[in-house]
Amino acid sequence: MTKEFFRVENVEAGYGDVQVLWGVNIDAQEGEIICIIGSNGAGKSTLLRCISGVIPAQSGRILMRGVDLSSATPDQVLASGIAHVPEGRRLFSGMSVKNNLLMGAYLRRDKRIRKDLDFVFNIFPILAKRMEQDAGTLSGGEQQMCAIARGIMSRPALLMIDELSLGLAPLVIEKLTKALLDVNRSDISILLVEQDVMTAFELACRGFVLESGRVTINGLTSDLVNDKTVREAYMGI
Amino acid sequence: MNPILQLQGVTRHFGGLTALDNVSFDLRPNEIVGLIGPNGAGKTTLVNVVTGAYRPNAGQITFDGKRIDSLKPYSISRLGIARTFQVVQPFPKMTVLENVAAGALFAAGAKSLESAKEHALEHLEFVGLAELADSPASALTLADRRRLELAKSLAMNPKLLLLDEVNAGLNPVEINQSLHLIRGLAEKGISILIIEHLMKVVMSACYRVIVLHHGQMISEGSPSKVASDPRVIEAYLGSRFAAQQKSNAL
Amino acid sequence: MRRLLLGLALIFMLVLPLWGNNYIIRLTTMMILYSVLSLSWNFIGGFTGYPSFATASFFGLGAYAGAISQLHGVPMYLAWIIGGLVAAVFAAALGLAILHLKGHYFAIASLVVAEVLREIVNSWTDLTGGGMGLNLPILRLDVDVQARLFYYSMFGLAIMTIIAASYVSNRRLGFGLRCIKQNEDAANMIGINTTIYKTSAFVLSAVFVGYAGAFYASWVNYIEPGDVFDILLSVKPIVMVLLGSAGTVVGPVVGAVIFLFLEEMVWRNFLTFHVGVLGLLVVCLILYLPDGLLAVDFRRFIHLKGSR
Repeated sequence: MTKEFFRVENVEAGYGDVQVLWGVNIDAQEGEIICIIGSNGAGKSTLLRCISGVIPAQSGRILMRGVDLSSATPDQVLASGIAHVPEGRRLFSGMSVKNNLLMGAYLRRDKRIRKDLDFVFNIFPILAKRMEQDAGTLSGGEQQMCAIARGIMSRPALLMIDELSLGLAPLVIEKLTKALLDVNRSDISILLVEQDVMTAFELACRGFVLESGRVTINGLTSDLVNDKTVREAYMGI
Repeated sequence: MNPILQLQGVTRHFGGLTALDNVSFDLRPNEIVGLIGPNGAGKTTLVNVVTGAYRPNAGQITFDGKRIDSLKPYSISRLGIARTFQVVQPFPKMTVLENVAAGALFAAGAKSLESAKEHALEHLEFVGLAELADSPASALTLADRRRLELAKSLAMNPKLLLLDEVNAGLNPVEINQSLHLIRGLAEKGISILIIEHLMKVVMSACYRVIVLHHGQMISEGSPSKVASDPRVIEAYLGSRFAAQQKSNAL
Repeated sequence: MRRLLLGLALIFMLVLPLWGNNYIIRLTTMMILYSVLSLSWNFIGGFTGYPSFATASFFGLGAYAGAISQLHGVPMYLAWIIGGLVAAVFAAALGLAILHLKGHYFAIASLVVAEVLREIVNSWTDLTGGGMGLNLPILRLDVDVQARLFYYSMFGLAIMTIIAASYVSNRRLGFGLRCIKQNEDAANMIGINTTIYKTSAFVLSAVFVGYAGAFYASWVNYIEPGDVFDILLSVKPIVMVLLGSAGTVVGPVVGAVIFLFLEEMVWRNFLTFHVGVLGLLVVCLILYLPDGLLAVDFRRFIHLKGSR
């Protein structure tokens, strides 16, 4: 039996007195793209922050290849192979695109960084063009590409993306979708948190619906897209 | 019918960058017009120029028969133009009610703080935030903050409302609610210019669509006409969207 | 509860001169003067959020305007009003020049003005006596009577300043200033003429200070540039307001009283280090009382004690 890849088990978390996650269960197999959808305030961003160690899990386990990361610090989480592309991109403006990407590889000491840089430039050619430009001056879509590329530069096994399509033009979303499929083909699993349910279901093979801090529905996206509750509550159909 | 807003040859530079290049269009009263285009096309700059945050380097802007391109933002607000911000801009330490009352007090010219607060409550009821009237503005969820922005703009008694990506970050159900509100506003007699990336909103709510690309107007017309314009597909919509539209139409 | 406390404080202040000795009266007059300075700073710093260091400029200008008027035969009370007016006009002009600057830039610009004024006054010896200062005629009144006269005059000014602060706080102007402090762009968009509002706040922060400056000149009978344009006259009111809670009506007064009390009781003993103590106080303030004393919920402490 292959070793289990990634699992979130009964995680509870919140901010001070306010509990947001009430026992979340999520899993991903190696090589998969999974998606998490839900309303604003359901806890999607909180879950990602909890996984990446920015906020602590009050109970439950976060297992990456069998290792429990629930009390790990963000750098430990990154070192174990999980990269987080946060909502709103959060690039280092004032630094060039290239330096932003290199910052993604900050923890690495190996010699393959140059190769990976070429890899991301291949997937996102526009970044190669803008290599020396201040990252703060990129357009929204380019910033999203830069943020994803920065995540890739840490050589993650699992790439978590929070709100891929926020504020982006349809054409840009199309390009990003294609690019993410390329990324996935090179053995990087993806966890996508997304408001645009259509884009999420197009990319992911399995999906989880997060409602008030709990996973209420999950399954293959090909099934979810036909699920009556999902259609009414989250697709507005 | 006379247009409520008229742009003629509006141009705006920032250093070497031309953000708006000879843009001309009319907005008729009670219309909902969509403004779409890639990021960096000049959409927010257009709103900033209309509301007086920037002056155009060339061209004229006429609102309700009056030239406004050299007026200050506060004067333009008082004439009846309100806008929402892409990144929501509340007064964080004030309550929801006070935020909306500010609009009623300063732009709409309410007689006193009390009457401003009364009007504010009406607007909060319209957008569905009346229960949160005494909460601090900083404690709201994203969808509620968008509603607050809307209520604040309404309190200014605008004739023209400029909505800058009010639906970004909302899930489809919340977007439907937002659309419902926007249509309600148009029924009240407010003309609306809406900047959007969500084509679902544009296609279903807008009577007309204007497309900006590199600061220039590259297309204008009904949503279906614009959505099938090859220049727009190439610059902004992408072939996947075009294909979806085709299959929807069949 | 607060009203009761304020009422008691008011009565206390009114009857103080009846039993206090001249030293206490002088000290309290100084305290009231600093209350006026902090209440004034509160208009531009507390309500509007613009960190002004111009208080010393207004004070010094008022002092010299008042002193020079008096030396040219103008009656004392009128000279004080002239002091206030000169400071107000100056603030209006200065405001147009620097109020479009934000944050640190505005602070530095306002700081520099006092230095420039001090130099001008220093050099314009014919008018101002330059570095040798100005001597004002001493009133031909009994020392005790004088002390009480000045006490009640300054008290009257403080009451006027408090009334102005209260008026502003509860009306359109105060609301608009608060909007500007929290989000100036949004304030512009919502129909507030921020230029007029900011300038009004700035002028308010000057007029009572200018009057106080002219008062000070008459009170101590001798002024010189280093004295009335002293930067501490800008800094201390800010610390007082922060201590007492910015943006409230009563906070600046509370802050002034406590600050000066501490200064008299504690720092007299730290003659060489006393500005250093001031610095320590500022750091502690920022760390432990970022919103000032009035924002602290004292009822919580009382509850804790009662629940034992």
